Amino acid sequence: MVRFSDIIKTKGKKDEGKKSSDAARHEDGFRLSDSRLFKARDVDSPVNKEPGVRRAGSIETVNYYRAFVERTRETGQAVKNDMNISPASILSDLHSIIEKGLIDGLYEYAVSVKNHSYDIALHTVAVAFTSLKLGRAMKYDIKMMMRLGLAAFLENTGMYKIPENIITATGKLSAEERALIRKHPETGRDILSNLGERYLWLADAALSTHERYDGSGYPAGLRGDEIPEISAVIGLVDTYIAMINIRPYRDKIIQTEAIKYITGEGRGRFSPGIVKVFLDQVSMFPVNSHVKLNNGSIAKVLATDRRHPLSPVVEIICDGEGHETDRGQLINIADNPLLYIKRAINPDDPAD
Amino acid sequence: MEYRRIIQKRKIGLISSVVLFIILSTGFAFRKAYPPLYSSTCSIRFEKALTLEGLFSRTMSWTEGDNIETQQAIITGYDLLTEVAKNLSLIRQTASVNDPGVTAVVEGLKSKIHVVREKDTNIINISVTDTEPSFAQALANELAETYSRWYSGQQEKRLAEVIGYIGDQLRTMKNNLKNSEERLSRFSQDNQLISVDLQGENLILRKKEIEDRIRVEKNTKRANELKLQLQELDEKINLLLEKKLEFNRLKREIDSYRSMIAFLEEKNQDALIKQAERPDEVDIVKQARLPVKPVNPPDFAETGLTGIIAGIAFGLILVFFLEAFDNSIRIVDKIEKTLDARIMGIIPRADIKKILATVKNDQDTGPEKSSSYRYLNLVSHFAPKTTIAESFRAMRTNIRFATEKEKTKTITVTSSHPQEGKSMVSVNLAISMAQAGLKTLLVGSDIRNPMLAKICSVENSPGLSDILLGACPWEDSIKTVTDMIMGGMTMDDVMMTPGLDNLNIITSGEMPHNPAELINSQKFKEFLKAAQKDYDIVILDSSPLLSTADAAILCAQVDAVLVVHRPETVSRGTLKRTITQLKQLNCNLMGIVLNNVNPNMIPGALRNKYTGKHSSGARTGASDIKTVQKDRKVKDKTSMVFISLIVLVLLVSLVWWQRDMIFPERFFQSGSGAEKGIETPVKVRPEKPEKNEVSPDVKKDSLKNEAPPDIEEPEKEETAPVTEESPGNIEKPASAQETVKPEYIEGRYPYSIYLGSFKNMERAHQAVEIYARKGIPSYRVKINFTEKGTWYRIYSGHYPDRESARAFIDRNKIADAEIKKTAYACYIGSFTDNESLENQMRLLRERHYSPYIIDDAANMHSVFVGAFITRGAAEELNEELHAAGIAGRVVHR
Repeated sequence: MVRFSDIIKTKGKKDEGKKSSDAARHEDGFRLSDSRLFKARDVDSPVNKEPGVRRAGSIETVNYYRAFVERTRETGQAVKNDMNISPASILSDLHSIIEKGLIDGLYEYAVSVKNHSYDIALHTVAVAFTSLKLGRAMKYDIKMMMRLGLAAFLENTGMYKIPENIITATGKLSAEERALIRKHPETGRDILSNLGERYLWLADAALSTHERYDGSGYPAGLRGDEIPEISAVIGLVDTYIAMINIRPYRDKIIQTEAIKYITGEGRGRFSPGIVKVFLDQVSMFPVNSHVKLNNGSIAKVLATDRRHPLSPVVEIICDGEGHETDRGQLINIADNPLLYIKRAINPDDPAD
Repeated sequence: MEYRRIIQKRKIGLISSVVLFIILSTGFAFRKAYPPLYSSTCSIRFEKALTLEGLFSRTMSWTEGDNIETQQAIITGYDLLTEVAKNLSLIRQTASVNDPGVTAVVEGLKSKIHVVREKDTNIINISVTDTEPSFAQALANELAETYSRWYSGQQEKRLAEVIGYIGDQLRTMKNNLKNSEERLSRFSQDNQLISVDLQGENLILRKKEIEDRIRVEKNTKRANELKLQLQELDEKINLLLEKKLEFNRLKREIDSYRSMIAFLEEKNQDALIKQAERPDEVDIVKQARLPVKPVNPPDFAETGLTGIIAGIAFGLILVFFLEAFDNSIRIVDKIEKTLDARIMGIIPRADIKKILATVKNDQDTGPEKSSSYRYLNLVSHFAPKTTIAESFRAMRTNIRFATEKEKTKTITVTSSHPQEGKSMVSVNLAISMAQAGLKTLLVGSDIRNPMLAKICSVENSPGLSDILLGACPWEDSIKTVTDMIMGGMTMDDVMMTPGLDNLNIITSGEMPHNPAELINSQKFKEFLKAAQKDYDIVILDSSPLLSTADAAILCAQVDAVLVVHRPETVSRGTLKRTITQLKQLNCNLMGIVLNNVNPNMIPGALRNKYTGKHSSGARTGASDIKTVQKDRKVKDKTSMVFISLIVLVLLVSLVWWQRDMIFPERFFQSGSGAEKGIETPVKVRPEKPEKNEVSPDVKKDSLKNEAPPDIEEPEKEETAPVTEESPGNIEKPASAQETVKPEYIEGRYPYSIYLGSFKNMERAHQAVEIYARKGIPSYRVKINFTEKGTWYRIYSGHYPDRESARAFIDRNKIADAEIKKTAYACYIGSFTDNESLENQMRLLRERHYSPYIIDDAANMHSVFVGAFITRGAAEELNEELHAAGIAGRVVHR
């Protein structure tokens, strides 16, 4: 009888040689979950089309991430102070990351950042990179990608106008407060329309990110194709990112549960075509989620494969007996017929 | 061995056939047992000492046996039976002999009677067989009595004749004697024949004297004179001799007459003594008893045994018949031999309910109805524990062994005709492969029919046609579980059984106008090549081979071909054609998959086949198959029990129904026949009063002569009926009539309308109520049959004749009613005031009797209970009433 652990060990040993050199490249400040070398099938951009290794979480990625967070914070400050905002710098950065093929890296980085409180800037950045990932999968050209990215960065413009105490409120909001929050798309649209004729689409996109496919959204209750596609993409991603991050009034939800919601209860609220792309890109067990395997070990998802969305590449954190393993055992579940993911778990929940 | 297998395989059919036959035959016997026949025997004996010929003259050479045989014939003779029928009131006293109705009755009686001589004795047994024991008894006794009466009458008549004859003879003889004596005396006087001898002696003496004198006086004149004297004397002597002869003759005559008279006198005395003795030459040795047991009890054991044998025989015939006509079962064995193809898998027919139940069990939420289609087609994923999923896994094992050797990577699943289950088989096979951890690509290459997308609930496009047309790179048209999720499955659905993730699907895509060319294109080859690199196995769901060209092209391009065959709908010949075609195309036929096979049809031999062929490796498959067997066994058992239960319930209900309401004919075979016979031709009026207390002697004569005077009888008798004294019921107490003051006049209403019979008193009571609601007053009558138990008959009314009863039936439109002559009833009493009448009625009802009232013109109400065809039954009720403290008596109603 072959034991699962044996398979895992041999597998791990095989991969060890390849990645050892890169293993040292841990960045300080941020935990890089994906700082490993592995075969990536899910990357469709020309840059990473070649079979081989991709280096995610490089210094460049981290720098860009920081830059985007900074820009978002600046924008927020500007909005709060009723100052003019300028999309130009965002656009130029967007252009370079798209061109350099850093979207996947930035996405994986953004979703793996641990934030312990609600930070609009971090949220916005995560939404933006995830949206870009979807946009690329939807075969957007560079212009559309830039538009999508810009809209994603500025979709929450209206939120900056909402008083801090409402945003950080942990209790139930009053009717007026809720009305205020529901008004933020319009506020955003008003602010963004100040950018002029050239950015009218941006104002429209920002207005409609809370519209839902089945007409249950706000402010206008648009449905189906009435919602601009950019807004629909951002709306889905926004919902997803919001769910997997902590909010003042609730804890975060693990990614798989969020996906379950989107494909289950939330089905119908989002355009099926976009959900399909989303699932392909994000997968059932998205990067950075923790899963329990059928051999009892607990692993962390490092990369996903579009063809086998239930069988990602994982790194074993805990073996079947519950002992923590020294990191570095990488397993592509798709290559191990006897292994499969039983369920996703919440790493913060001691019960799991 | 082969027979054993067949029987084993179809044992359910066999067993159920046997069970069915047993139940049917027993039920039939039970049902046929009606009516039970009762036989009652009355024995009579002939007095051997007394035969008429012995008495008078023994010149005739009858043997005793002859005589008894003659008597046997006489017993069942027409005259006697007519008499009996009259005595039993089966026909009217007035009935004419020439009446066809009477003939029918008599013939009916004759058929019930069986007369046998007890061996080497003078005893004759008269057996009567009838549905009613009391009737059998009554008829046997009545016949014996009637015969006895008739016989003794006959004897007496003959005796009288003999005595008369002897007397006549005696008188004649005496006369003759007297004449002779007179003649003798006259003769004696006339001839002075005081003493003939003396006279003669004197004459002879004188003659001698004369002769002496002649000798003395020879030739003298005197001598001549003497000679003349002598002549004279001789003449005298001759005359005297003649007279003596005459005298003697007369005397002899007298003597003979005297002796004859003496003889006759003696005989006459004998005859007179016999007559005085009133010789009863026929004794009733044994009275007929009331039979308790029917002579034809339903023989359940025998019929049951017959049922078993018939059931086994029929079952075997059925089994072999089915076997002979069942292509599907032999196909398994024969395909491998004759078609030179291996059976790679046998997919049993999907048990939809079971699958859904399994899915329900495994899922807390339970399947929605709309998903049933998906669950059924993706059974390997949703219900991996079911038989059908097991069979797919077994097939997978077989295929993997086959592919291992030959490095087979691409498999086409095709079939002869559409609708044989290609897509279902290929999807489930692919799922099984994926569950085994193989990276599986399922390609819907049946471009004409996008089944795959439907089954897997994914979008059909982009698909294979788009790839081949270059519209989409093949990698982009791959459908995964995410597409299934988009198609309506939930994540839990997808993750229900691990392995679905290993399955990638390429659907057929939009249908182009030239599917065959697309399959034949270079692009397709490239696609196949690329796919083989990325996947462990590629399964192509193809179009049917015999109806499309692209299937043939496809089959030629892949490593192996699986042919799905549905034995029940597609003939073996078609399959053979398919296989031949594949061989002509140089395709590698991997094997045949039998789809939608009746689980019971899978022969045991084949179930274990795979273990033998692939000894160790196929263990999974073998164990799979074992599980399948187990499942099947359980299923067989339950279905068998279910079927037999249904059959049982049906039969029991049938029998019950039959018991409950049986049509009147069954009970009244004798009665109804008799009554029907005389219904039309005989003039119907109240029972004719029988005036003469018939003595056996007279009765014999009246047997034939009764009818004519009846016809002349005046109609007015109807208004003034006279108490009837039926000849058969002489023993009826005459004194009872004086005891009650207002008295019911008997014999006026012998007819009732028979409505039906019930086994249950409650139901009978309900029936009475129902009839009452319809305005038909009725009453129930309890009848005790010894064997059949107690029955309740429902009668209505009391009628003087059939016509009035018929009129009532027609007026009320009663269906199934019959007119019965129920001449006997228990008479409770007559009342003139309503109160005592009501009291009496209530009293009777409280004791669960069903009384009824016959109103007389003179404001008199007579209460009766029961109505019976035979007196015996009425007496029985009467006894019961007496036991219950109700005074009543049996009367002619």
